[in-house]
Amino acid sequence: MLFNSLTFIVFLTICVILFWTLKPKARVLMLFISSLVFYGFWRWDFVLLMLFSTFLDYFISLKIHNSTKVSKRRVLILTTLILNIGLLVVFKYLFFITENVNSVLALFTSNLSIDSLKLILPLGISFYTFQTVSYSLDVYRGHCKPERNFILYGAYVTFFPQLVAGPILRADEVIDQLKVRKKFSPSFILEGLKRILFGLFLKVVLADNIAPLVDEAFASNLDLFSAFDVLTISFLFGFQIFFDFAGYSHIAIGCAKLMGIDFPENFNFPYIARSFKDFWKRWHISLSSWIRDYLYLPILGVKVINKNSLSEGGIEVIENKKKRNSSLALFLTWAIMGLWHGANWTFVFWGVYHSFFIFCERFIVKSKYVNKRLRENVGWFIVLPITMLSWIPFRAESLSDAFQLYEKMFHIKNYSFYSLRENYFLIAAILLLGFLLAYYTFHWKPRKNKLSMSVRFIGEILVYSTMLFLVYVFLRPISQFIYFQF
Amino acid sequence: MKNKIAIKITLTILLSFYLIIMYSKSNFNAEEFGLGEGTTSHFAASNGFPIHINKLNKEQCSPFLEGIKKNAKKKNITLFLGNSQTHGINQYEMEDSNYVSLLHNKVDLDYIISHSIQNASLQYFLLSLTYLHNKTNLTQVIIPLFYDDFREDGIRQIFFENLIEEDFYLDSSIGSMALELNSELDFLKKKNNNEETNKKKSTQEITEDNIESFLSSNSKYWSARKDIRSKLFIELYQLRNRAFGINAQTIRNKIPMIYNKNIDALKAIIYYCQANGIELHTYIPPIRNDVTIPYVIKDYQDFKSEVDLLVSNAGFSHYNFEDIVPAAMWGVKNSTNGSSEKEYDFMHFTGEGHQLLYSSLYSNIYRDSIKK
Repeated sequence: MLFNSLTFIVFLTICVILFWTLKPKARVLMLFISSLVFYGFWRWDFVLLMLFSTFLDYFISLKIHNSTKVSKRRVLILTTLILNIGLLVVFKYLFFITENVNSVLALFTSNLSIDSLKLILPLGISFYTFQTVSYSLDVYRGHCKPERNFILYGAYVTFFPQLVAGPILRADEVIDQLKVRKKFSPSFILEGLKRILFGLFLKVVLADNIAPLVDEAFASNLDLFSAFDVLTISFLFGFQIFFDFAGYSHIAIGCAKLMGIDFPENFNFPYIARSFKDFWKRWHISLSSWIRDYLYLPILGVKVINKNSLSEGGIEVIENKKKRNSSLALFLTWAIMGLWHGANWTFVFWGVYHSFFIFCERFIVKSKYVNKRLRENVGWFIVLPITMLSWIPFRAESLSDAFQLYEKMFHIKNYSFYSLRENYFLIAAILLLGFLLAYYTFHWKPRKNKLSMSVRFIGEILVYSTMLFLVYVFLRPISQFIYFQF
Repeated sequence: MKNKIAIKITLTILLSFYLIIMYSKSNFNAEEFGLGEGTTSHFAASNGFPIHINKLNKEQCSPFLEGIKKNAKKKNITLFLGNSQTHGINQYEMEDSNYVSLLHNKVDLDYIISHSIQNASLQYFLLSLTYLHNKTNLTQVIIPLFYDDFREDGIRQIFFENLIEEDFYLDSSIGSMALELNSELDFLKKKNNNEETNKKKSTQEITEDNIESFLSSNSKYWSARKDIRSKLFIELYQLRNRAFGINAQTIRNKIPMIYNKNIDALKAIIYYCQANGIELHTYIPPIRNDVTIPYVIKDYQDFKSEVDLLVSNAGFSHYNFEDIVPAAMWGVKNSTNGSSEKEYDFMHFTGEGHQLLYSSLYSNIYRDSIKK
């Protein structure tokens, strides 16, 4: 089910009414069933696959917990990892793998090739697989106890607000809240609706209206682009994907809030970051913390001992004498993270691109010539365009298209003309200014005098009524969220 | 505190309702707005069949092609392509006709038809020409070369629905422009196919359609949303123009990428006409000459020379009609920035202007056949 649809609004209304009118035990069952219905509105046949994945980790985690033998626990965790990742590989990467194997085979012989099988990618498989895998690993590491109530565990994995595009939540973050008998408070509804309205505004008013510009630009003859054009479309797509994904996250957080459940923030003004490390503490926070805890640190050889790991923070190096080559771990992690986003070399390149700049940043931070003050003063001017340019391979049809666009940035002659319409530059500039304005307004703390309070009071009414009006006018399920495809 | 929140929510809802009601009130037609106040679209018909259409869709194209089949027997078929100048008449009066209609009634030997699109481009003309030639076997095509049209790019699906539904592709022998347009058509087709597939398979789509149609048929405020969207975009456009002081006389720069793409489309048109034995005539259309034109003069002069050379070298006729419509026959239009001031209309002229253009076209293009 798409958040930006009337169907979802009706569905959510029914769910929230049922949630607060049912007895606490029945609430969890209702959430589990309604989450399956939510998923089934896309494809009923794939509900079974999701249930299989859910049951697998529920069952194996109990076995791991009950087993004292180290070898048996290892076999069990390996089983769940192989099965979960195997499913992901079959549905998401099989076509990519066979295509690449065929390309390699073609170098040696023209007679041999493997049949390529392109399967439908189950919605949200990358997200719920990460969620179930992290649960099993947490139980294996002894960070949490397995949940014995399958309905409660099932409600956590399939909880509809975060099912198809995150935030990727840890079991502790949701299960404990589902267990608590919360009393209804009007503030849940008010806060939830505010977040949903804001999320819909980002998606249907901003992202959906930037999308045609970006589509048109990427469908143009890229050969004729100037450096300004490349930078502009990277900014436009950077804002489109941010509004799209942050919009989704706001709606997810808002929906959970309607039922008194708190989700951690997934975005925190990422384009204000002054370093790449800072960017990844602000962008898709739940993914970067997942990658840190379950991929980067294990590759690095660092034992994760944090018992209260939450889906917050970014990728950080924890000093450890036994740790392996941190640069290799960095590049490998990011390549995998890129591949997680999509079965295409463009995504791998995107990951490696980021790891390269994080790698460089580590040297700069250690350098005695670049002090902290200088980094903070000029950081934003360097990080923002580089980050925006990283979206080029994310959106380009192929790596050769992406390289063709990057090449434009390195020729001086490409700075003497422009090929896009003037509106492109204007819209990109307005979006950037609007983003900065929103950041400073959000962090503005009014004085406690009457005038400031009145300004804020009127300002909020004007902002929310305009957003409500615009969402009403633009609400159309014309496109799904970009992250649904991952 | 609770009272304050209640007041805030109530005021927010009331204000947004007010905005919805206010924007739903006015009747608004985005296409007519594009033409400007004082200009009216005129699409002629002959013997009960349209001879001039705006969109290549089932609704307009089927009777159009039917008319050709019934009325054009033993006649040469001439296609006029164009933008809103072709179908727009400024200060329209009851007896006014556009130049296509006048020529259709005057010329007996030919069956004259037209397809004109507001903000057309040469890429559109290439698509239209190839599609209609496949359907009707054209003998002659007449194309106005507007400098403005060389700033337009991309395929707006609304004007080419038949091409998408009928799986129409340009012949690859036309060259790289055909491949480029085919990939754009392909993109639109894939987009449509995905929407179709979802409609068949997803419960979400079925439910959404039902709720949408229920709301549209029961609430005028819901069904007005499309018009409100158009109106909001127009207001943004006006706001931009006001902020940057843009009006009809503001210099419109050449956009090299789009310009070159349209030049390539013109070359493809020339090639296509040569390969298919279609007589091609092009002309520089009338532009008002009592005020400074909104182009970089050197670019405009270069453009005129370039297209003249391209068409003439290919052995086809090219004319310049830019000065044939006197200042008095041009109108004004609503301001592009939303103010009450009027602005010069550089695109559309009156019925008398259409008469003049018709005469020029007739005497130039049909001069040879008259002599014969």
